[in-house]
Amino acid sequence: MRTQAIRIVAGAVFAALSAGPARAQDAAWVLERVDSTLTAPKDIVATQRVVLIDADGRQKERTLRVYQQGLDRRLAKFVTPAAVRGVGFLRLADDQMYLYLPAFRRVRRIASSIKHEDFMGTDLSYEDLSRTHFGNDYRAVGMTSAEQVHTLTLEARPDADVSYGKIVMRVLPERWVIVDMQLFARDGRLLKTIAASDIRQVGEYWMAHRLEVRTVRDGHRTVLEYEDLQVDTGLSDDFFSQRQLKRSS
Amino acid sequence: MAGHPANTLTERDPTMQGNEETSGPRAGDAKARFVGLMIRRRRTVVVATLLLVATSIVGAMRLRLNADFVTYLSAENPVVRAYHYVGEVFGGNETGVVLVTVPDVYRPDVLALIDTLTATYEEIEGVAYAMSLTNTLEFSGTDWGIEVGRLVRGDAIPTTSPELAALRRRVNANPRLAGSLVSTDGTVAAIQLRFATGATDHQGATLATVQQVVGATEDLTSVPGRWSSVTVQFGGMPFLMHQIALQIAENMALLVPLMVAFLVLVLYIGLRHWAGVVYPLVVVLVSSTLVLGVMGTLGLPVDLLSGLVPIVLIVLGSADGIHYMKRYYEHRLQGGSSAVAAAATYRDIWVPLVLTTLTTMIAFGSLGISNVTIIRQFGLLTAFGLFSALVVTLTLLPAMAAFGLGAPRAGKTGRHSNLMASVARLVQRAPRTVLTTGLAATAVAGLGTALIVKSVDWTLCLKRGSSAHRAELLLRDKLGGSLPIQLLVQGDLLDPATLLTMRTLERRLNALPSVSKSQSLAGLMAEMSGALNGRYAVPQTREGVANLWFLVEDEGAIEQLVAWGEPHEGLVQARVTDWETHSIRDAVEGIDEWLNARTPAVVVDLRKLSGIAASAILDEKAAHLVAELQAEFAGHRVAAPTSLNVAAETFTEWQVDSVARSEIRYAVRQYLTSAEAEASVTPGAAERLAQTFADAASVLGVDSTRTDVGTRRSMPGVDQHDQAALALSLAHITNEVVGSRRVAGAMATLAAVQALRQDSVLRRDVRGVFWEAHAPLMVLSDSDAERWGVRGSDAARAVPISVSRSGLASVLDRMETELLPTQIQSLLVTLVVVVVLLSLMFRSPLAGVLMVTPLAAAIVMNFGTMGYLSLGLDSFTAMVATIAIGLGVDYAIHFTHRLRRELARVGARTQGALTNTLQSSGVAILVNALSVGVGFLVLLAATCQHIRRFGGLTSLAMLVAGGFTLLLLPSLYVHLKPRFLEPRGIR
Repeated sequence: MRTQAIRIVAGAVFAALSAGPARAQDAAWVLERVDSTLTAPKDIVATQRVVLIDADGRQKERTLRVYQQGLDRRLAKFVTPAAVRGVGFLRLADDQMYLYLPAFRRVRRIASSIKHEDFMGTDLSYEDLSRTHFGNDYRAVGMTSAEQVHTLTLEARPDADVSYGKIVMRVLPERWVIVDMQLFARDGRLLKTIAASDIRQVGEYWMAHRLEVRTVRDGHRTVLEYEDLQVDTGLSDDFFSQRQLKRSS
Repeated sequence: MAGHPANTLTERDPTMQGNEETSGPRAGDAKARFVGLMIRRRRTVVVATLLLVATSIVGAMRLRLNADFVTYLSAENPVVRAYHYVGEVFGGNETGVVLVTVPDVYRPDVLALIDTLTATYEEIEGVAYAMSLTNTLEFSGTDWGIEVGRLVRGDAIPTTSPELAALRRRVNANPRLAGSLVSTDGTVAAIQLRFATGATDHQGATLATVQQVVGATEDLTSVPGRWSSVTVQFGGMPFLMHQIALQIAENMALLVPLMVAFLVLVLYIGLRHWAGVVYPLVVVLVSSTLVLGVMGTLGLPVDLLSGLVPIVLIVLGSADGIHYMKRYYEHRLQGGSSAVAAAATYRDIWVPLVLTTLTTMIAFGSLGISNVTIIRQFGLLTAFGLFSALVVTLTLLPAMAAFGLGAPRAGKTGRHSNLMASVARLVQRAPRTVLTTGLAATAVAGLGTALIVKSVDWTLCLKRGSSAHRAELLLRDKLGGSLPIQLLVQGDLLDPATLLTMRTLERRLNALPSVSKSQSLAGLMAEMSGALNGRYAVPQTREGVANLWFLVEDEGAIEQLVAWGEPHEGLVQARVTDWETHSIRDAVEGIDEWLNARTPAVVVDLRKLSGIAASAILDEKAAHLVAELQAEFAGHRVAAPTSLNVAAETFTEWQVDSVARSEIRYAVRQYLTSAEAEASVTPGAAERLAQTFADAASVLGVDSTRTDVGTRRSMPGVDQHDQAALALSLAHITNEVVGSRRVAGAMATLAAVQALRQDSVLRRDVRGVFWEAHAPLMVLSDSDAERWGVRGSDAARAVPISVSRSGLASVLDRMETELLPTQIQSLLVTLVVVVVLLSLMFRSPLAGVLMVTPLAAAIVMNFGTMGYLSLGLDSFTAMVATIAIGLGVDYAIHFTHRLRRELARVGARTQGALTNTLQSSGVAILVNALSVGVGFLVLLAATCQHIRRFGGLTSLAMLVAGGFTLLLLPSLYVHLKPRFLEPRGIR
């Protein structure tokens, strides 16, 4: 399952922008802006279309209804394909993750140790899906600027429980939206690339409505597209519960 | 030569001489003109031959190796087509295994090495998938949930002793991993590689991938001192192919020079003259080159057998040359010039040369009826090579001989002559004794034929002690073998009925003594289900299957078992424990037996049945349950207890009792107070709901009409959607309690079974069988549905499931099953044709029968020897008999032909004729038998054990055939005095 997807989605996709000063910023300051942008919306509700594309170009498509609040809370329910309608995923604070399989009528907790695993066949891990704040696990070690884009290099903090040793991200200045990322293993191998596009303003936030994630090793790709994206809808804290996981549609 | 008959030839123009005795004046004229032409234009003949050889060498430059077993059968063979289909649909069907042998796999550095190797292999283009301990899926249940993830992550390898011990325990508790990816003693780890298909040059691509895998492994493990305790070996079909390809080249490089050396030695000993060595050698080298040129030009690959064609030709093709040179020397010793001797020799032995070549060609050509490509190709190419050798013998040899040669001094072959004189005396004096002795020896050998083993280990084609051979033995010993057998299941894989069928197939495969480690999507579903809710059984509903499928459908491990896309094609795959033909046959027969009798076609919903049909189906279900339980025990290699019938009866007759209802009430109340309940209810409502569901419970499920009403009444004011959802959850809980009680009751009847108490995996699996039987459905074959009267009823629905057998084991089995009848056919065809040919040639059916008698005895000796030495009957050894006839009959032809000539010449002085024949043709036969026999012994130096056996047995057969021809045939002639030996019978 793909915990990572939610993180990157939350990170890059739901990036809203607070305009920053037009002066030379250091890398840490830029990373802080990016994180602020990622966590700016109070909540997000959207329909997510996920297309899985293998190296031979064969595709599978899924649709989810996703709800997110703040940094920690996320609830996703599969809408299509029909065979898995109602399958749900809930993430709460402290890496608490729950899975609901309607056929078994039971909510099951998922071990946090699998956060590095891929989420539901996508190229995103649970960790990718959950990350909304890079500064917690990474420190910015370098930045270059050219053609209206900052290229930021992040290195994993020694004690961070993360899959990537290094991340190179390109960020649009002023909007502080991530336009693409390269994710490297700790041994320096390039593992994945993520490209964000269709960046539009929703409410007062700038957000990418399309993400394409590619796993270098096997050429598998995942395209995530957001439709009907709403922000600051006023979701209550109670919404992110096991009961809702079973109920919501 | 002492005792030689006087030469009847005179010094005439060689181009005008005919052989009226054997072929009449007109034929004799034609032959004379032909040989005259060859002799007059001898330089042209030599140059033309050289040009032909040069052209052949150019063609031979295009030769390629073929070590792919699958191509040894026709591409149109259904088994081969099925094999390729599986390869295309599942991204490859060749599985290689990299074996890492260490004192203890559960060490951080070893696990890191396995992880690095796995990741490295995955980067290789020709590797579709690599699976090892460090990337395999694990479905583990916890007190509070399920974990679907990697068993060991490369970036989180256990380092502490408790972590490593925990990993060992988890692996050993999972039969999908223990004994498959890691040996149970923890000393061998396997990295399974699925090789990709689709390349135009499949074998070339596979071999290139093998080299990359081996190279990458060496790069990673060759750090000095770092991995001194680690041994890496490579097993499985792709590596085996690589090894065989090396061996084919090695065989040709080693055996051809060795064979030439032996031939030189034997020729010199036999003919005592340099020309006697060089000229026959030229014949075989020219014909061998021609064959290789034709192979290269036509794109025919060099495989395990066709690689032997040049070697066989060197042995066989020399025979004509030997006979020619032997006779040529006779003429030369009688004072004829080289041209006259060359022409006279030609006339003398034209008939036996053509006839013997024809019979040998028939023997090899009869292999052309084989469905096995390599046998067919070997037979036809050898036949063509023999024809080439004959042509060269009849054209180049007279031409070369006419250049003028010195003749060996008389008496040089005296020892042979003396030996033959002794043979003649023995035969004349005591023909019955000779015959009786021969018969007795044959009879003793005949007893050995009863001991023939009809099973052969395919790994005999590997060099004993080679890395590949050791890897195969290790795989057998520690990891259940490397030979895959697969069942392709086509149908709706999300249908529980299909998955139940696949589980049954898994059990039936494991129950076969020669098969283990079966797995399929159904097994993975059962494992996931076990982690999720503690029952090792496939879900009972389509929705349940779909939910679990969703969790894993895009995992790499699944791609090996289920074709991409909508799950309509899946594999049940297992491993045959070894490469013995009988093991493979047992596996195939066991599978086919089940498939033929039990192919599922109809699924019956037990909830919709009543009356006699329900009772009948329940009886059938009980019988099916017992069979499944027996298979489960057999798969664990544990004797099934007699109490299985009682357990099955207890299970099928169980009804919801008061204890179960009490548990249902408790479970419902617990759920309603949990955080995940769809709605909050009052304590009173909870109690009412608990009672409603307890009352509505039955062994076939919950009566939803009662529970729906009860839920609505107990939860006034609650959203209808939540009411319905809650009712579904409570029904699910109720069914779980009912199932648990029912299974527990059945398991209680097996409580005394010691194996169940001791083996937690067996216990888990047996419980799984009961849980699967708890599903309110029954899968029946079409005939069973008809028998029980449910076919076409409302309770029955068709399940279009197709199951077909595939995998390399199926291909090998088909090869073997097609091979033996073909070999027998070849043997019979050769025998009949040879007998008919000889009968026509000598105008006597008795001639045909008598002349094959020594060969028949030699064949019996051959099979007897195989029996006594426990040499299995396989495609290689079965060929020996056919070849022995084709070659051995040459001796009889040469002998009989010469004897008739001698009888015609010396009249009634039979003794003199026999002595003369033995001292002339007999010596040639002896030399030839020795050269062929010793020549085939050279194959004992081959790396492949199959070829060694083939060489040894052929050698024995030829020596025996030669010996029997020189002893038994003259004894038969002396004893029976057949009329066809009289001159008038000669054509």
